[in-house]
Amino acid sequence: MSFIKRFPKGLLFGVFILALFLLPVFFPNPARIGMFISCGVASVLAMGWLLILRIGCLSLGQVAFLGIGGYASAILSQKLGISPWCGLLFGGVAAGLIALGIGLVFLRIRGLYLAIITFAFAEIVRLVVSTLEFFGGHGGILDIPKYPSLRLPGWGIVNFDSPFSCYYILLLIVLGSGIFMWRMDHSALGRTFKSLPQNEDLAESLGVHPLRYKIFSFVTACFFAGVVGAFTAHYYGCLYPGSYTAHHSVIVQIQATVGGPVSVAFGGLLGGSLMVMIETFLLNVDARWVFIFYGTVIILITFFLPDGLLSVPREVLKYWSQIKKEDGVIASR
Amino acid sequence: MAILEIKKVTRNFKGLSALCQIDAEVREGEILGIIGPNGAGKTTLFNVVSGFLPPSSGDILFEGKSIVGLRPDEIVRKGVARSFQGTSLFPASSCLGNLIVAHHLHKEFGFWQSMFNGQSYRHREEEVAKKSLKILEDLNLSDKKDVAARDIPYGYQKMLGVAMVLATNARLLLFDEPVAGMTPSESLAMGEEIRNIRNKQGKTIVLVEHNMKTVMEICDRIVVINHGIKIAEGPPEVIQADPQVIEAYLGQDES
Amino acid sequence: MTELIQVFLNSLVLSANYILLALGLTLIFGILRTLNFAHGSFYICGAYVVYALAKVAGVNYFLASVAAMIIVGGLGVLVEATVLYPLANKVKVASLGAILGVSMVLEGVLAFIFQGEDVTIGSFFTGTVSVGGATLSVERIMVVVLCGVIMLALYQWIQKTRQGTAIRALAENPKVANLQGINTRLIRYLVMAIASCVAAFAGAIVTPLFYINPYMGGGVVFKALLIVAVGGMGSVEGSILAGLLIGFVECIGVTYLGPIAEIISFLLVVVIFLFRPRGLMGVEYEFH
Repeated sequence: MSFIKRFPKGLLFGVFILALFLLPVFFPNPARIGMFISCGVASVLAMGWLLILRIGCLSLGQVAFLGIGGYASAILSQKLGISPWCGLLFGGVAAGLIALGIGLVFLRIRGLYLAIITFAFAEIVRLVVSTLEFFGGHGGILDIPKYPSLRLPGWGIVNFDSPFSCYYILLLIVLGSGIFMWRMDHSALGRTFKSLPQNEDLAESLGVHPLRYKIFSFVTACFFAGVVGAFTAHYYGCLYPGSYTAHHSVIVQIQATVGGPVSVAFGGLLGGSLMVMIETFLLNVDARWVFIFYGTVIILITFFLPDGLLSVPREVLKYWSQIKKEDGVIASR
Repeated sequence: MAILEIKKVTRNFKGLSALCQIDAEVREGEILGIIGPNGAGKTTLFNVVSGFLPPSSGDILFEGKSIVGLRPDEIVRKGVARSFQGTSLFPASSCLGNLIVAHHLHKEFGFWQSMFNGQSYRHREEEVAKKSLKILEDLNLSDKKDVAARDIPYGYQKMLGVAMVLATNARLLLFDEPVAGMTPSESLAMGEEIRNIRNKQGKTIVLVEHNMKTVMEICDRIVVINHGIKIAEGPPEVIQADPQVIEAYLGQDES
Repeated sequence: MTELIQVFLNSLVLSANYILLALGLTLIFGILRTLNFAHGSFYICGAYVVYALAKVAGVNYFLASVAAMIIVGGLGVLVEATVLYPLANKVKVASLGAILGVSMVLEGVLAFIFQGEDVTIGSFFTGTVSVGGATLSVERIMVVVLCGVIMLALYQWIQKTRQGTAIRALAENPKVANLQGINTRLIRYLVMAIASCVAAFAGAIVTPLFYINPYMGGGVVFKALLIVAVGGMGSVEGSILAGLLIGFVECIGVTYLGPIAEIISFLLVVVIFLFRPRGLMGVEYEFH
């Protein structure tokens, strides 16, 4: 059997990855690449949101972890001289540790109240970084060091002072997060996640330690949010607490919902990227359209495609088989 | 030999005593029935034994060791499993999916094992899938393996729930109203099945039930609880004749 | 002593603000079983209608306020009819997403019309009052007084009237209420209308005090949500209690500790949830 026949999905995936790598080559306009970077950031957040949704939690404060990662890396590089490269890891670890801490305490709470806690936590983080001088207060943090050049074997010295090269850093982050979360979702872990919102008591009585699995999901999602947050700090060179408000978390939710919970990784990627692209287009037309756009989209999605765009193939198939059934009935009369 | 000993277990809720000084034991290999009017405390007893509620006082020994204070998932690992009232399922998951999750304790996997999809992990997944498919075959549900559990007929849902409890490989099984809402023929089949589980697999079974016919037919002994207090205990014939029991309970129920 | 009185009075004003919003939100949750994230947008809509009519069109402030209440009340009913009711039986995540969408659309529309700059209509009631050395503007006193009036009116209405009883029945058990011949749809409209009216009212009386911009709705509703949750979802007394608690804690905190004290109310929420997950006056209906 030819390679193509045996691994059709693998090949498709390979082509897709290649396309992502070649994107900046086909669209070299720096502003365009900047948009791709925003797409990537949104994608990672959306993927995390969907992963947390798997355990039945509505994370209304996802951007807080973006901020934690960013602030951690920024402060470490400014005050301790730690390289932004290490900052990526530290940002993720900081976010992950904090997620672990609040997760251990609060993930026992179920339902709506948990969602409210995630929001309260996000606001606490935002208030802390906007009032304490250590975190730069309302003005945020400026002059964050950018990524220093690397000597790569075979390439010589590579500079990271343009969107073009930073895109590849982000792409690796997106791919890393996506593959990790995809694998998690499709493994026995993901299966166990899905059982919790359906009947947590039953899962517990079958030997599942609910908190343990909720922590796996929550900490993973927040870790990657932290990594990508650290990236944005060094890429943009500055951080403002105003970028991490409840409105932003709602936008993460909307982007993730558009992609759909059918697949954590692909849903996040699709939802994040598509919405950011449209948002960027609208910002160029008139910034006031953005809110109306997001609001209308989520309302339409809720009514017509509650499981997001990725559920379109499934719905189309259902529709087709319905039609075929009806044809069959009519024909037999 | 007592596989489970319930010693002076009390459970209070804000001044109300749901269970008061309950003393009981479950002998290995027996089918014990727990009956009593609604609100008597039967499910509360199950919740306390299976770790969902801590007792306010008293002790519970499984195979000689105390299990009070353990989490429900730890108690299952020790060998005590339970089902829930109504349908004890994951409604949106497929029938096969339900069973696969039920095999959670079969060669437990670790975080990194799952993530890296190593050989022992894949081997385990295959084993569990095979076992689950076999169970579906035995239940006559093979054709419905990909159907959501909430979409199969009620009787099948109850059977699936029982199969899931079995999948935990526990030695002591607690069934909460296993035949509730079933037709007489379905109840008969379930009763048969429960007897088979005891006879062929050597499990010890405790059931809470309202269906007197089933209880009297399959239980070796019966414990009667009313208002959180044990009011009678003994084989079915003795219980049926006990005036206290009759006054408290029988006569209101269909037999 | 003067300072204490001043802080006390300021706290009352803040609490009154919070309570007005929390009341509508808790009613909606109790009866419609949805979290109305658009409540903040209704509040701001009310404020903007008053602004548009009073400042721009020169209409009398009172009339403008009444108009705001009617318009926003109608808006509430519209949202209930088109969005909330159709989604009432679907998954929670779905209806929350949709209502967030509604609030974003409202804010976007307001931004379109009013350009997103901060505006205010300026004080309507002038003058200040002195109480034991502490001063309070008449404006703010009116806020507290009106809040009290609304609270009493709502309480009377829910406890004593036929509609009120129907509402309480619906809150307890929608299916049975339906079977009893209570027109649940109508009641839902009524509740939504009243709650939105109260939100608009809160917006109307607040406009003279602060600057408003179309995006304030989000922050406001989330705060109100916290208060409702702390007080117990669906409990009117709980909202009042929590509103007072959080209003006082915040005001005292900010006065003596500075802006960092805003964190206190969030921390308070988090702590209360840990120990009493159903809120101060919430009903316990699950054991695990």
